[in-house]
Amino acid sequence: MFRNGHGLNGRAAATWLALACTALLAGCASTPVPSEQLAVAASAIEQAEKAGAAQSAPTELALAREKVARARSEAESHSGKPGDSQRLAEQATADAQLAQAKTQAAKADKSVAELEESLRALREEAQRPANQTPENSP
Amino acid sequence: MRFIATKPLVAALGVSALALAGCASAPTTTPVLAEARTQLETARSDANAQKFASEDLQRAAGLLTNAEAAAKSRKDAAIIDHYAYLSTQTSKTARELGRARAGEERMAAASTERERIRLDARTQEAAQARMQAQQAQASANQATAAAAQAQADVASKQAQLSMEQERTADLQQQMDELAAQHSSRGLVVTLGDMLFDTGRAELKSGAGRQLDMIGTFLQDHPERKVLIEGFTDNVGSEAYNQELSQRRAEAVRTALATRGVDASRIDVAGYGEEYPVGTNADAGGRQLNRRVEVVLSNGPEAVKRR
Repeated sequence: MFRNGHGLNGRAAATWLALACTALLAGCASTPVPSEQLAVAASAIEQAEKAGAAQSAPTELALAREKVARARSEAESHSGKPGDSQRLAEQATADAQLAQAKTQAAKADKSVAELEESLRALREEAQRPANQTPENSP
Repeated sequence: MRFIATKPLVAALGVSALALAGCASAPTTTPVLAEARTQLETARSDANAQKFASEDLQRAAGLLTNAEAAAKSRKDAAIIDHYAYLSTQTSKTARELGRARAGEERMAAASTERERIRLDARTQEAAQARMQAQQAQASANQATAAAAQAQADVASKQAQLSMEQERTADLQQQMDELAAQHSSRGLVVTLGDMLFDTGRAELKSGAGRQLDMIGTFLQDHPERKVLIEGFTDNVGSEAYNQELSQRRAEAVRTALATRGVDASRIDVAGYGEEYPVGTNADAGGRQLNRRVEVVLSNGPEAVKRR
């Protein structure tokens, strides 16, 4: 970037123009809706919802939805800093994935608790005849 | 952006840049970044996350590295926090997934465990049944033994009974033969006066058969004792009569001793005119009063004297 300049000349002007255009394009690129990230986030939210996150992880799910909505509105209204929309979409994805994992863990916890209960009952039942017979014997 | 720079200026700028770089290299942190570090540490020490969600752990570590790098190069806090936040959520996700998958694995193992419990129960039941069978066998054996014992008892009681019956029959027969009388003191056999000559104490040979029977009876009943009592009528002096009754009783003792009856079992008493059984007013009554009574005890106790 640093050069010992000899003042403006044609070649330099062309270079600056190109740079300006690039800058402009870069500015433009940050504004459009980051459709790919948003699609990923939407899909993650959908999966979390299907898993039942509305019940098991409402906080994370709400966070994800809110961030996706914010990402869309910022992208459309060109408000916020460049890259904000994409970051929000990425965070929403992480939130939705956490929501889904939490939901799965809660389900597994419940199933395991039911299982332990049924095994406990089974063990009890299995031991019952052994405990009863001595009472019956003389 | 125009640079009409002199060399010293360039040098100054370079120094400034270096100084800035120096500042930037000092690690920067934010609360979100600190939280991300803590979360990753927690997730890494979670055994389930390690076992079942290693990819998520790696992803969280990568995101934390990005956050640390952003902090080191003094990037915008929004960038640092963005990666830190993603790392935090991914660490949490790793732990949740670890828990979920551990639970799923537990569920998969459940059918095996269920089978094992059932098998244990059946094994226990079988052992129980075997034990009960053994107990039943033992009590059956015991019952059989008890039954055999009871039968033996019955047999021995029957034998005893028939023996006793036999003895009772024998005793009855002997008593009949001896013409013995029951009394509270025992069996009383009366030897009449015709066994002695008048005024004498020697037994005549006619007494032999009755004395034989008494001797046999005492040998058959070795526990029984005997008291021999002599009596007279009132003819003659009292002293004479007492002495005569005594000598006659002793004669009977001698006769029994010669028939094998131990002298220790025999007691004698001479009562003379006392205890008459008939009237001394006529000959018939006096004859009844002249007698020797042999009292055989009912048990091992000696017969009491009058």
